[in-house]
Amino acid sequence: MALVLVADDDADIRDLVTFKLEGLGLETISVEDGETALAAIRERRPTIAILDIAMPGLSGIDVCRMIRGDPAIADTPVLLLTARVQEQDVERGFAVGADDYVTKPFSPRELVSRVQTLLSRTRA
Amino acid sequence: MNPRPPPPDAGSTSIGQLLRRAFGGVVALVFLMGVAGLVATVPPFVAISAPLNDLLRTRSSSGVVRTLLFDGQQGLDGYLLTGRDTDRTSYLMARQDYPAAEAGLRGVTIDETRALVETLATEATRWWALADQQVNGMPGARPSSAEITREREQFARVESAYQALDLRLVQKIREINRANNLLNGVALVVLAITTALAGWFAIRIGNSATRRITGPLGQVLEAVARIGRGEREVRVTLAGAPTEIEEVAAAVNTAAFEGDRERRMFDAFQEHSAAVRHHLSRGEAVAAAAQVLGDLLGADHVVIRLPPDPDGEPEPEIWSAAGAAGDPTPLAGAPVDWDASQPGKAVVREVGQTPPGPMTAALNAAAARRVIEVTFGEGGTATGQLTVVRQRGRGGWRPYEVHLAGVFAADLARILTHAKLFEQAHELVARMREVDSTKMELLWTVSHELRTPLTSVAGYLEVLIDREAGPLNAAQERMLGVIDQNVVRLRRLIEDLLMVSRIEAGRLALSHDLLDLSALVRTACTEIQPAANKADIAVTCDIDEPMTIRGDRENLDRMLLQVLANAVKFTGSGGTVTVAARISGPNAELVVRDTGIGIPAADLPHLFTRFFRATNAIRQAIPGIGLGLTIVSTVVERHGGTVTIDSEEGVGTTATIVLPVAGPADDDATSAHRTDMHEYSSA
Repeated sequence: MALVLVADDDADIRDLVTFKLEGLGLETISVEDGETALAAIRERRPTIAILDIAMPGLSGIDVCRMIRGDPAIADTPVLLLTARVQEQDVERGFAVGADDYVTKPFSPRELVSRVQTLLSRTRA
Repeated sequence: MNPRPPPPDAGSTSIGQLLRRAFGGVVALVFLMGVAGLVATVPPFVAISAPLNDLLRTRSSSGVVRTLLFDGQQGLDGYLLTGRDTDRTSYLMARQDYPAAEAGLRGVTIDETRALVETLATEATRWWALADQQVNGMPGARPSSAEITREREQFARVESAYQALDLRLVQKIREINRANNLLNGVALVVLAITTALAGWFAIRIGNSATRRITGPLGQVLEAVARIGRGEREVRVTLAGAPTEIEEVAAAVNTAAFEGDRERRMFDAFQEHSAAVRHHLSRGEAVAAAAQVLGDLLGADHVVIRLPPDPDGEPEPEIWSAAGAAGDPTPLAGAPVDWDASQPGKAVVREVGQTPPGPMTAALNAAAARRVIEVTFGEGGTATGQLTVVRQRGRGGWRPYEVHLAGVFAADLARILTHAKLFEQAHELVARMREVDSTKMELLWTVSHELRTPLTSVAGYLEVLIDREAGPLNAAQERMLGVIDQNVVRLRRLIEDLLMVSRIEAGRLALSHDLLDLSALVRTACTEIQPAANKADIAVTCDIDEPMTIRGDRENLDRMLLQVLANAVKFTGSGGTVTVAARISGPNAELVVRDTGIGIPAADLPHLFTRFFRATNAIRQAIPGIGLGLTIVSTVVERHGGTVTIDSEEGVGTTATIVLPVAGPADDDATSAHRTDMHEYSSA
């Protein structure tokens, strides 16, 4: 059973994403900030990490960079949630090793399809 | 500057002298003529009258002698014939008077007739002797006929002597008359010649005097006329003219010199005051004004003081000529009662005539002799005071210099007012920019913050519509559809606001990928189709030819969709929207034509202003916030293209978008390049 970490400071969005993922039969961990997300990843080793970029404290970009810098968890696929207006966030995200991104406001269908793609890539 | 005209030559003659000479000459001529007349007439008169008088006296005396002789002869004849005593008495009376008459004749006779007189006297004496004999012989002895004959012959000799004498006298008188006539003729000729000569000389003297006066006067007049016509450089130059005219010429030259100087000064003023006007800050304008005025007027010091304003006491402006003595600083610090000051005309102050006090002390410190002082301002309020100092040993201020200072001050007052208004306007613009910037920042933040709740709303909506949260009945599905439409509309609105705030902030980043514009247009047409179908509008999009351009896909998509959305939005049910594209020279030309409500002509110039909406769109309550064309024109222009909107109200609108086609040299190598990237913090 795949485990997906969802990190976003907006509880409604976290619930929406986890609702959709659980609908696919996936297990989820829901966290509200970067520090908690990083701790959870180190502890639970999720299959995929979905990180919102704009979080208080450690941003999604910071967390992604730390994941890639920690050999124990460095191969965790990372999907970033970004506000579309912040174009350079996408560049910075890829620069620190993110695998994909979805811009807000996003379609839950679109997000789920991206997650499935990442999962199939991990299994392969 | 022209050198001053030289003073009149001291060696020249004056008009007075000239006239005295001319009139003196004429008077001398008249006198000479009188003398000539006298010379011509008096000597002949003198030469003639004395001998003529002698002759006439001689003739008169000879007449008396003859009369007595004749009386004597008549008496003798009568007595001899009648023996009457009356005849004898006649004879005796004549005989008695005769010697005196003869003596008289002798006394008056001229030398030339003396001999004839003597002959007459001798013959007469002889006759008297014969006659006496005959009278004395009576009454007794009557003379014989021989004696009578002798006596008669003797008397004939007397008569003949008398005739000879008279003839001679008459001849002599005629001679003298002839000589007299001749002399008269000569005198006439001499007089005529003298008169002619005198006239000629008088004319010559007159002409010469006139020439020497009118010639130079004419030159002066001509110069004055030319100066009057504006020939500033003209000066009168005279050689040997009468002193008065040279003085007049010198005065004319001085006037022309001063007039010229005045005009030059005002010309320079015009030129330089324009330079002063270029300064938009008050401080710079005042500094430039002090220097320009000092140079123009040849002043030693110029001080300009401005009244205190809410920002404090402005620094006085001090300008001093190179090498000017004295210190104008106390003058700049001397107190001014601004409340009592009224803008007015420039006045000249003579140092020494001012009452003792700080002002006089300051003037003395500046080594001032004469100062022009003028308070200037606008609308009765003093906005400054100007003091122009000329030092001791320099000339006084000419009236036009004082006038110029006044005009200059008035000009400066206007410049300062304008500068003040400009500064205020500048501040206002800066403040408005700040407000605008704050507003756009707010817009950005608000729009961005709106997106987060919208993400949840749209996400859950999708989950509901996908029936992931359970089955839906028809009414629920319809209601969720309405919510979805409005979420889409809200999202588009937020995206537009974000786009505009990005444009305004200069944060619009574009990539330069090679794209097929035709494909983009076809996609946009497909995207707009549902909205068009719903409004019953036929969208024709017949584009096959590939058109490669370089640009940012996302923004071009948004732009094209905006153009088509506008066409659909402003076209009523049953209308058409036609989309056509073609290559025109180096450009791709896209034309979107609709049969919609059109745009009023008065609104056309404002179409690309953000938040502007056409008046008919507002009237018909067509939704929108007036950002569409701002975004369209910005995206197109940032791609090096142009947007043109042609419209007729009630007929339709045609939007023409021209974008440059990518050249054959273009390849994908630069596609990663982005322009206008701005670092900014995440919102």
